[in-house]
Amino acid sequence: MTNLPPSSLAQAIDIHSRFAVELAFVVPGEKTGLLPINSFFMDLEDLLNKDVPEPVSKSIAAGRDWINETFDGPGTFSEKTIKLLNEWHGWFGEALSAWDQGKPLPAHPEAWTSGEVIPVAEVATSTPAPEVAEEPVITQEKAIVLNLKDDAELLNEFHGESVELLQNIEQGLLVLEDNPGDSGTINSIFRAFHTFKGAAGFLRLLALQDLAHDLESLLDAARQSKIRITTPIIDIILAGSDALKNYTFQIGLQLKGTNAGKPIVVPTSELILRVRAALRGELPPEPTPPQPIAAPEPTSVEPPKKETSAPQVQATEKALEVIPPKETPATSIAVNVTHLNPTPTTSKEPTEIKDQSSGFVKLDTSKLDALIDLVGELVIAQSMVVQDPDVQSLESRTLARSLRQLSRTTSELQRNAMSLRMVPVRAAFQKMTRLVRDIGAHQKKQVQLVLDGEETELDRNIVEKLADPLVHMIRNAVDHGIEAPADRIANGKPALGTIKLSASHQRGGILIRIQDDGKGLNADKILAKGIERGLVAPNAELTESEIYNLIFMPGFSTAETITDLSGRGVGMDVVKRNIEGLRGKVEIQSVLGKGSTFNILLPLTLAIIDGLLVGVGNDRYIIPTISVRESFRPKPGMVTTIHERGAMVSVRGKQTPVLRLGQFLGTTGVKATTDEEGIIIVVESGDAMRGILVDELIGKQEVVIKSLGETFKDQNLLAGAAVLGDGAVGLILDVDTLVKL
Amino acid sequence: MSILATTDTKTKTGRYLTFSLGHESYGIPVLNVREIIRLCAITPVPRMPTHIKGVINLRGTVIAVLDLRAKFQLSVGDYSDRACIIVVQLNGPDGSKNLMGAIVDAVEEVVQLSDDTIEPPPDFGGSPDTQYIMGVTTSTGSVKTLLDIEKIFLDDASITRSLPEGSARDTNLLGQGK
Repeated sequence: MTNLPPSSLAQAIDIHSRFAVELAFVVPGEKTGLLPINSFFMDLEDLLNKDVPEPVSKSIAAGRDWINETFDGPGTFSEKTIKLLNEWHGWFGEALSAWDQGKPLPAHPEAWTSGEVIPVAEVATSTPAPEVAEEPVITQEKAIVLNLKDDAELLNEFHGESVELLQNIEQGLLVLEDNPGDSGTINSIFRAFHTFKGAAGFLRLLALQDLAHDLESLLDAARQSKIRITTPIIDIILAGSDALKNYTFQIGLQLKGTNAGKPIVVPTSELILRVRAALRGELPPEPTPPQPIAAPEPTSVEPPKKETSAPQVQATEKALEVIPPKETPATSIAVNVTHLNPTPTTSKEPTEIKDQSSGFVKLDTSKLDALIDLVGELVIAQSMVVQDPDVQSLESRTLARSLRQLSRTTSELQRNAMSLRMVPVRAAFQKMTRLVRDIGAHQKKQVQLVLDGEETELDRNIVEKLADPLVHMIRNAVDHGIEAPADRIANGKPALGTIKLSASHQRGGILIRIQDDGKGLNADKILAKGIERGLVAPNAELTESEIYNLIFMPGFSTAETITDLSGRGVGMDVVKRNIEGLRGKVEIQSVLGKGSTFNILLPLTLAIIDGLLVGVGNDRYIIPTISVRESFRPKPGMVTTIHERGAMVSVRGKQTPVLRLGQFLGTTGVKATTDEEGIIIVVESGDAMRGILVDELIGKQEVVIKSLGETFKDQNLLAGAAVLGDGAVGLILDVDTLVKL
Repeated sequence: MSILATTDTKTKTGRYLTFSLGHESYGIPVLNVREIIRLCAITPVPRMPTHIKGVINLRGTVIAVLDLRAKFQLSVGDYSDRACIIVVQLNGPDGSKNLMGAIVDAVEEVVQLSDDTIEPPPDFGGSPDTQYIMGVTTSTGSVKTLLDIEKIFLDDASITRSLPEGSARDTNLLGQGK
């Protein structure tokens, strides 16, 4: 067997694991991930171009072929390609680890090159079989069932967005009616359907996705001038958007609790046929659906909105019963479903749908920031008025009462303004459910994700930036934490592994905890690897937590993670950097054989910090409370020196260097002429600690962080500035720098 | 001289805000001036060049303030109560907008100047440095030096450096004797 330089193998393994991340987000009918996956294949080809065993080179070639087919064909992933890629990923992982250990490589699956699909049970269950777009005739209506429990937040978002998209589509179509050649409008309708399709695909609303896909193709053809927009075509598209609107409407109802959990069926098969016929350039058949509607049961013609009455429930149940038999013609279902919404195709009933969309206002965040700034200024102006000596000398009851009123209103206003930025972490958490499901299925592990505290609110900027680190950590938990079912049972654990993702308030911030009951981190192996990689001296004595923290070091390679020798390590340095960028911290707890816990402590918001206001000379500085361990006034003899310089103080039994802030900053008028007159604030960043000697502790204050701007962007002494209660600017010290000075 | 002036493709015609620094009179394009505020309490920023006076709170935005007298190495003195901060807006090459303040002794007036009344700066052969000077005008009765405000400020826009690790140790500031 050929020996590859270890670095290439490590790189290949790295690509393999990044491949998995991309793959987890690939959706049928979407092109998300297509380019990255293509480049992974090309990287692998470059990396392993010489002297690789045949199965490996063949498998890479096969993978490239699939991607090329996708590029040449629809430009989006099909179910089949995704399945193949999943198989490929599994196979390639096995091949790499066999290669690494010098074992014979698994055989190249013949079916890949011949274009057939090997049925792999786990994969097959997670990806429903053949691609619908190629199926010429559909005999059965698809029902969609909402996962209201897990996806409520996403569905809500989807619902709001869809109502807007569909309204835009409808308006666009009306423009097209007058001006069929307007390419701008065609484009915007095309994009709207595309967006809709993507969102529906993400939520696995297959029926919606299929219809939107066909409509999108139709508009794409129009866009490329393959077909001409005519009134019948506009009618079809309108009918299509109405059907989608109908679905959206039902989703909205279920979100409000009506008929929750019932399958939603809207007749679309005939519509899809018409769309496809139009796409082939055939004259679209006359719209037929309205006919059967009028026919049998005359009971419910009212809008279903407020209705929870028996007949409707019956009707839905009937719809449920009717679906399974394959030969059931579309029309008969249409009849049953009609009760849910009496106007399935022809439409000009936007009023009813419109009032569902209100309730949210999309807002430019910079406007929000400006508002919050102004409110902050108002609060300062308010306190300046109240504290003004002239005002205070006035003995007017009415004035005092008015001022109290003003104070109350401004502080209420401030609280409200601040809360505008806060969003629940739910949406970010729920996306992980999908990730766990996909990775678990693909690695043949049984994993469940338990969410807790999703309603905890965080600054939306933090929630957005938290997504990446969460994906990494959850992925690692499934990948390297949770064992294969057989191993779990052998170790006396249930086969089903559990990952708990929770959020809670703690220490004035938010604690996000990722807890798995997997195999835990192996400190000995991590240390051995840290030494091997030159990250620690061979004779270093590290505490357990110091060892765990090695996995956050850049260069703690991922090579062995896949061969199961060690714990985690995929991009953990990036995770740590991201979290520290949010002024947060990560801590690891782990028990070998029992599982690991990653604690992420984050500030509530990026805009506000809790700070200690300290005085040095005539200047005031803010030290973020999150970095402060303790503060005390040193007693004589507590501060000792080495070489008459290098002052240090004993903090909980550990000698900690002392930085005399006034002296260091060159402040004039330092009041504490001896150490004992000052106060030592012990700050920490990572594992480093330092005592900061200041003149006085002025107070604790919540401050709104402001950027210092371009001028000071290259310095690292200050993390920002804040406007203090009296309107002056206070500077926020960057503790990360101070502890290293 | 006029040849020199025309080689500069950027027209200098426009309105200028003039102000005084010591006994001298200067001007900057009005287009860059956002507002003029009274001299207020400035929070000093430690370990910065002397002409960077610190930062102020301009209605919720923190902006850096430069002392133009210190910048041009004029004689330093106390500010009178006529002293102001001129807030200028700098348009970065990447389209960013950045506000900075400049302390001046007194604001004079706004004058309209055209290219033919603006002379290029005389060459002193090194000192004083004329790189920040757009030109000189005498059309208003006295000599006014027109400053290239963007050059002055953009120069200072990233003057700061980060502190290297262990710098306190090197300079013995870490707990040096009393």
